[in-house]
Amino acid sequence: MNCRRVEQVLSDHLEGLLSPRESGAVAAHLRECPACHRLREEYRSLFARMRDLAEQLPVPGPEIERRSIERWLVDQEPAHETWRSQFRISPATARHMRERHLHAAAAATLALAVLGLTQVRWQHRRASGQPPLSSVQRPHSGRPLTGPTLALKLPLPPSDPQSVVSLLRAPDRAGEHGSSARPSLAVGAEERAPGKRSLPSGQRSRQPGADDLHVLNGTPAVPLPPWRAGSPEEWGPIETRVRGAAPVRDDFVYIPFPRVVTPADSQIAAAAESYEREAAVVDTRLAREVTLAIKATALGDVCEHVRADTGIRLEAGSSVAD
Amino acid sequence: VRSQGSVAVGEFQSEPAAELALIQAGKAGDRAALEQLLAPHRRAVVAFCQGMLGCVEDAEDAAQETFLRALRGLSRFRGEATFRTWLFRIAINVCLQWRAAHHSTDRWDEGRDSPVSVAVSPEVIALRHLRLMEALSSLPPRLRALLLLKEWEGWSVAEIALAVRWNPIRVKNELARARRLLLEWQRRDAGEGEER
Repeated sequence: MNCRRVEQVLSDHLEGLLSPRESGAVAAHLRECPACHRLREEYRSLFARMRDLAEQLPVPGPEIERRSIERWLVDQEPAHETWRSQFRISPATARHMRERHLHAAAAATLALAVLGLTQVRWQHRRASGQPPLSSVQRPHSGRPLTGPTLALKLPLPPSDPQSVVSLLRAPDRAGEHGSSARPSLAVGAEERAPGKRSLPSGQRSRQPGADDLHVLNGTPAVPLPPWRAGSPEEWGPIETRVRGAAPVRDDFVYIPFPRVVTPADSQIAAAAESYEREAAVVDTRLAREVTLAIKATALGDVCEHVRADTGIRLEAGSSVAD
Repeated sequence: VRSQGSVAVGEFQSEPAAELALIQAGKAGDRAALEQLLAPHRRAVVAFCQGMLGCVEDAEDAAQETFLRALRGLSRFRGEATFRTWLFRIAINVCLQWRAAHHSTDRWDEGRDSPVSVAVSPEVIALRHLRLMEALSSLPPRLRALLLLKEWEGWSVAEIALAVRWNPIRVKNELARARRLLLEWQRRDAGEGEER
């Protein structure tokens, strides 16, 4: 075997791919030929160097395939009935669900801190860095207040802000608990602006006796499909964009952004549409301009006035009643 | 058959039957099955992409793209080749196209070779490895792919031929050519080292 032939088959020889006879001939040549022997050592060195390089490569994490899977699943969404079925929960149904949640409550206490400025409004805003707009704020339920307070007692338990908003937006629902507990936060001497706005009846009324499963699925026999929650990273930018595009007209009301399944275009569109519909709602019962005429009135008298006007029992603490 | 000097970067190769079951479940949207299907190939695919592209960041992006293309083509996978072979064929094309997007190179089955150099982050790889990585990058892309599959992944000539859809003889000849080119580089590198 000559050097040219050895050079051709040396790789195969090193890999053990040659026949025993041919491999023996190469080995014999390598023992006698310093140049080919050096070539073999160079190959071995090269292989070792490549092996070292491979071992030095960083070990990637599972996010590599997970991101790909996530992207593919999002692309696939319309093709999978399991996920498409989420569309069956319409915005109107979501409203029913929220009102249902409200009815699960038994009693609520709202505490209003009065700071005595000329305009009294109250707002609820999430801790988003926005400065408070009014001098009256409703703190989280159950938290004791310092300073002057005006208590509004409702036949509901401490509830979350969304429930309060729902309550305020659906006084007809809460009225089912009894007329004496009809909730309203109207404070002041101004009359309710008649006909200024009223919510469409379709958004308010529910068929009496309709159960949740019927509302959700139409047929109770159809089980709810499993939910797949979108991650905050997916939803954060979308929510910010939609909120920026659709300012809430009742600016003291916090409207929860619809939580849907995936950031697919169709669902974003449905969520944005739902949010914009909610954002456009202005309920004149939720805010009253308070003029200087009432500023000189004792808080106890204001409460009495509100009680006579709305039927809600308001109490001013003894330290601030006068 | 694995060469004496090769190192398999992939952890293992799944059983074909189990792999097909995972593929079937994956087609139906089973996320866990898809993760189970792809995870064993993650390290090998990323390593291959790094060898092809020379940069770990590009390699991870290319690996993600490879997995995504594989998932999109999952319905067309018939099990004629192993999933690994099929996956690496996608990875090869992703890397060649990746380079084409940044350099004027071409796809596997078209055009001619054009040696290019790729910058490698010196923070990531030690100087010795850096030089070897540069040498790999200087190989024509198709030769580099063959060499990486052979030396890093420990593939047989037959499996490489299946992945790149070449005649095994051609694969063998091109592999020998790649090794010769790398060997010549190693000699030059050793000479420069002595001069330094």
